[in-house]
Order: sequence, then structure tokens, then C-alpha cells
Amino acid sequence: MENLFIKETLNSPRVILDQTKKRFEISGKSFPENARGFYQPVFEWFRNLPAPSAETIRLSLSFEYISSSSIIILKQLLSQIKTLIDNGASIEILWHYDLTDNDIKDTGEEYEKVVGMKFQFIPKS
Amino acid sequence: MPSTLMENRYSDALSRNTGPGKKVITSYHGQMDQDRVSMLSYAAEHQLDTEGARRGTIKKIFNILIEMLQNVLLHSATPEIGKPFYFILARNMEDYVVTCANIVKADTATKIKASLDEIKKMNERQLKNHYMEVLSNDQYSAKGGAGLGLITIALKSNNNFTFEEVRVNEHAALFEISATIPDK
Repeated sequence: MENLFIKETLNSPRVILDQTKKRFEISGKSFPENARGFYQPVFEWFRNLPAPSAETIRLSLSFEYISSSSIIILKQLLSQIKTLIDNGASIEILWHYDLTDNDIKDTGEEYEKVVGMKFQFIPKS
Repeated sequence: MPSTLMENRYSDALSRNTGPGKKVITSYHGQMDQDRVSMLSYAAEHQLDTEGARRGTIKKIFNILIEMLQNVLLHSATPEIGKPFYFILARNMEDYVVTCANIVKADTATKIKASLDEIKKMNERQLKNHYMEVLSNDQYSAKGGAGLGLITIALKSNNNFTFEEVRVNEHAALFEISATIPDK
């Protein structure tokens, strides 16, 4: 399947979904004007994932800031990923957060509750 | 005319934030677009850093500012007048005050006011529960909102915010919201 790369901007994160190098990451600040539009290719990428294989996708989410409109869209993305997992896909979420930033850690914990999945929390110093 | 009303209100808001122990750190009056959301929020972040504000305070203000500015971007009223708004970041003794206003449709103003009236009655725990409820349900507007931005403003300011609706005519209103964040 196609790899997906989106460059980081002042208000949107970098996206790397690279099956070739096995690198899966969304990182940076997220407050684009149209969060739904921005994340649409990411939804598509996961929608087009081949049938569940033994290979695990380890998706690193590493945000510095997430606006409320992005928080809603990311929740929908995580719900889509949860459905894939429920249907047999092997996907792990690695939630990175700055040790000095409780907000981002809290957001991760809120997603765990709301979406009903477990993340691996990784502090950055 | 909305533009005259906005200019007068902007001038009033600047006066409110001027005087002994007060200082306007940065302010802007003009048309909104996404570049301006980024530009103003990064400029405010930089100026607060120069002012010596605490890291946690700067982050809270950055959060509040982006929610306010994105609300202007997504919910401004009419194509005829564009998206006029003003924004003021000021210091009042040991507090920072963020004020933002724009022109919205009259029915939008009524909805925002009703949401904020509800939010104002909540304590921190209730606000947090409300936040989780909104995040849990999937009834979002086409613009992605559902009021999560307003709840965020309330949470980041410890519910220390005021708001005012000023009718322009039967179709439109100027909506101003102002949040206070202590530097601690």
C-alpha cells in the first residue's frame, strides 16, 4: 500500500505512515483550520490497511499541543483504529508526552477511557 | 454598522486594560484567517516569554487564545463583512487577561451564551465530566465543535471568564469573551 507523508507546518503535525521503513508517527502541534480535512488522508490510510497480518503497527503519537477541534477528530481516528484492532489488526499506540506537560498526558488518558483502548505512555525528558 | 460597533468596543476594551498596574501586551483588530491564528498565538507566546511569564501560564494562555481565535475563524457571521475581530492580551497586576470578540449570527450568539451560562455554573469536577461527555458522544457539528473549545477555555481559566453579547441588528451580534489567568 501507499506510504503517507505530510510535512509539519506551524499549525499541523508531521505525519509519517511508512510501511517500507516500518515507521508510523504523527508529531507536532495540531490546530489546523480544517482538522477533518487535514486528517482525512490518515483515515484513508488506515481504511486501506490490508487484512490483519501478524505484523504489528506501532503508531507513535507525539503532540506538543492539540486544539479542541483536533482532539475531536483524533478521537474519531482512534475509534477507527480500535475497530480495526477488534477485527484482528495488531496496532499499538505509543503516546509520547513531555514530562513537564500534564495536559498532553491527560489527553492520552482521556482517549484511553473514551475509546476503550490501552496506550503505551512514553515520557520525553 | 458592525465595523463602527467593533471599533468602539475595541477602543473600550483597550481602555479597560490600561491604567495603574495594567498593561496591554499585544492587541490586534482586523480580519481573521488561519495564518492570523498561528501568527497571533505564536507572537503572544513569544511576548509572554519575554515578559517572564511562567511556562505553565504561557501554555494555558496559548490554549485559550487558539480556542478563541479558532472560534472566530469557524463561527464568524456573514460573508458580506468577512470575519472582523479584535483580540487583546493584557496584564493586570499578577494576572493575564485575554479578550477576543467577533461578529456572529444572532442565533449563534444565543447558543454560545446558553452554553457559557451552563458552563459558568459548573465547578472543576463538573466541567471535567462535561468535557468527557462531549468527547464521548459523536454529535459533532459539521465544523467539528460541540462546544469543546468553550469548555477548554473554562477549564484553562479555572472558570474565570466573562462574556457579553451586543446586538448589531436582528441578524447579528458582537460576542466578546474575556478570560483571566493568574501567573502562578
